[in-house]
Amino acid sequence: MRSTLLIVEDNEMNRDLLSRRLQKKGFTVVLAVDGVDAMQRLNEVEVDLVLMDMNLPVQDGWTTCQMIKGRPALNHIPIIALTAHAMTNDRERARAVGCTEYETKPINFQQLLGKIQQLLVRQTVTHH
Amino acid sequence: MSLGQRLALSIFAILLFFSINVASYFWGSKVRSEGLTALQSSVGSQLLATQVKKELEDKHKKILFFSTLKETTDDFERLAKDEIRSLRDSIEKIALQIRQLENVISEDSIPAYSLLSQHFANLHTLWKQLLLHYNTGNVSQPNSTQLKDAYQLAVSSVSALQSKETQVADKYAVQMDKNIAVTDRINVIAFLSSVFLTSSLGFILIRYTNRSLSQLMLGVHHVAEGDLEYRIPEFSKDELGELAVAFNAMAGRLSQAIDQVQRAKENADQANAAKGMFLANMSHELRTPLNAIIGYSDMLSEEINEDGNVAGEVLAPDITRIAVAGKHLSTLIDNVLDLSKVESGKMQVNNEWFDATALIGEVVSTISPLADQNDNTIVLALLDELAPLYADATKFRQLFFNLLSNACKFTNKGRITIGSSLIDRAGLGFAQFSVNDTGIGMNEEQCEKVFDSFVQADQSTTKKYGGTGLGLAISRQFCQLMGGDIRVQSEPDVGTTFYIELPLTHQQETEQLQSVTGDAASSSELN
Repeated sequence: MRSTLLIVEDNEMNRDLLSRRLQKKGFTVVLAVDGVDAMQRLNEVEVDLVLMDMNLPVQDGWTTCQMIKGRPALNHIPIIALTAHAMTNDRERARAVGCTEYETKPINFQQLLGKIQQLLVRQTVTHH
Repeated sequence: MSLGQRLALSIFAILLFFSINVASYFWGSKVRSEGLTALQSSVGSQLLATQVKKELEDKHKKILFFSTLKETTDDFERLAKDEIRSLRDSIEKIALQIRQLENVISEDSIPAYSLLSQHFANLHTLWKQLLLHYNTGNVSQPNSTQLKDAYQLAVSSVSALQSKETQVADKYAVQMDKNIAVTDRINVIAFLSSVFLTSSLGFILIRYTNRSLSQLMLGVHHVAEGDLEYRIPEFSKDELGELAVAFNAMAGRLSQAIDQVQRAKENADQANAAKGMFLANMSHELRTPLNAIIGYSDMLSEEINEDGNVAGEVLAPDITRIAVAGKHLSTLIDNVLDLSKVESGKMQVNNEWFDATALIGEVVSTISPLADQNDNTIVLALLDELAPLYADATKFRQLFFNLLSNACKFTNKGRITIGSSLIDRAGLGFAQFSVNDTGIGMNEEQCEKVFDSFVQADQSTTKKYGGTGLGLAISRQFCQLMGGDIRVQSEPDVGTTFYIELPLTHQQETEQLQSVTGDAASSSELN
């Protein structure tokens, strides 16, 4: 069964890049451009994992993560935080708002892929 | 009164009392010695008078005996010549003693003395007559009654003199007692006064000094504990008071200095924080295009690896994306370098004469594709008679490019108007250019931060509209380098207007200025 990933990313190139590469790896990809858009997609589609850029217009990634974790219907979905900031406290901040994993830009695609697969396996085990 | 004056005054007062004591002592002893001399002479005169009295009595008895003998018996025994001579000598001795008395008696006894000398002269005459004619039997000899009377008068006048002398001695004794009492009193009063003055002065000085010192100590403690706002209350106008005033001034200066240091530290902290922020933003801004470049390159090589015969047109869009991201990165780096050049003072301004209207026209034609993207119209409303500008043409071009590309980005289906006018700033002529758009606008808070590096109006707008976030920061620096400034006026959802003001330096003035500096240079060479 194909897993569905939600990519929340405002930069057009980065969004295009990530979605195409993940599609090639056999994932179904849903796209959102900001936090509000992301919440809407989550309501419409059943998603297995979220890839969240933290610097987003309209509603940033930090707030959006807290909102996802605050909803009983959604709080089981693992989130991987993506940020271009190299500040060390971003990792702690990401954990604090409920992100399961953390990746810095520029993204090491193989490493990201490994984390996605690991999280999806764990997800399947806990669900069954 | 100052502390020194107080001390001098009290020392003077103590010395004064001391002198009074010494003077009264000397006066007292002088009076005493005078009294004593008078008393001594009085005692001497008394003694002499007593002696005179005794001699008188003695000789009187002898002479009276001879006189009575001659009166009662006719056949009296004649006196030997020696006897008469001895009697005569005795009488002359008494006369001498009485003359001596004149030298020792006091002034008050002079009348009594003249009476004595008068009565004695009578007696003396009688005695001499008697002795002269005793053996011859002359009838005109003084009789016993005459002798007795004269004797009585002489003796009583000696007694009178004696009593007078006693009175004088008593008077001196009383005066001396009085003098002693007065000098004693003066001494005691002066002594007590100086003791009182000294002790009260000491007490006042100690109390005053202690109070002043404790006020000063309180101030020192406050300042030592870091309370630099504490001021010692004004307690006197003397040296200690001045010390307190000086101390307060010192505390004030100290507090000012600490404030300055604090402010400098805060400024440094702010600058540091801004620098940290700048670095964080920089890394974010650089990573975003870099991420695209690396990502697309990786993907392209994967695609080529999977299918060696993949068609060029399939890959072309991604290659374009890499190129766009690379150009963006390049612009970003240029901007950062420009900004750092300006901030380190290495940015050069190359002023020249150029036609601003023509230059703005060039920028507009360059930017028009960008305006077309969002269906914007650019309107030129420049002054016809705008004189050539003396400024850095390259920077001027970049300024307008930045402002117009911003206006195009943040405006959709709107109008962008470029205007110009001549204004006066503190008596100097300036050319003012305006770039107005009918775009999304900014609120007051955003307007304040819009010229800061990376701190754009809103991060989300940066995301939405792109840009390096450095354009306006650089624009402001350029304007200031050229002696002008940039301002912004905006209202959300209505639009934004940027105003650029540049100084108008007219050719004539410049020529004058050049000739003046030329003269100065040549004259300094001559010197």
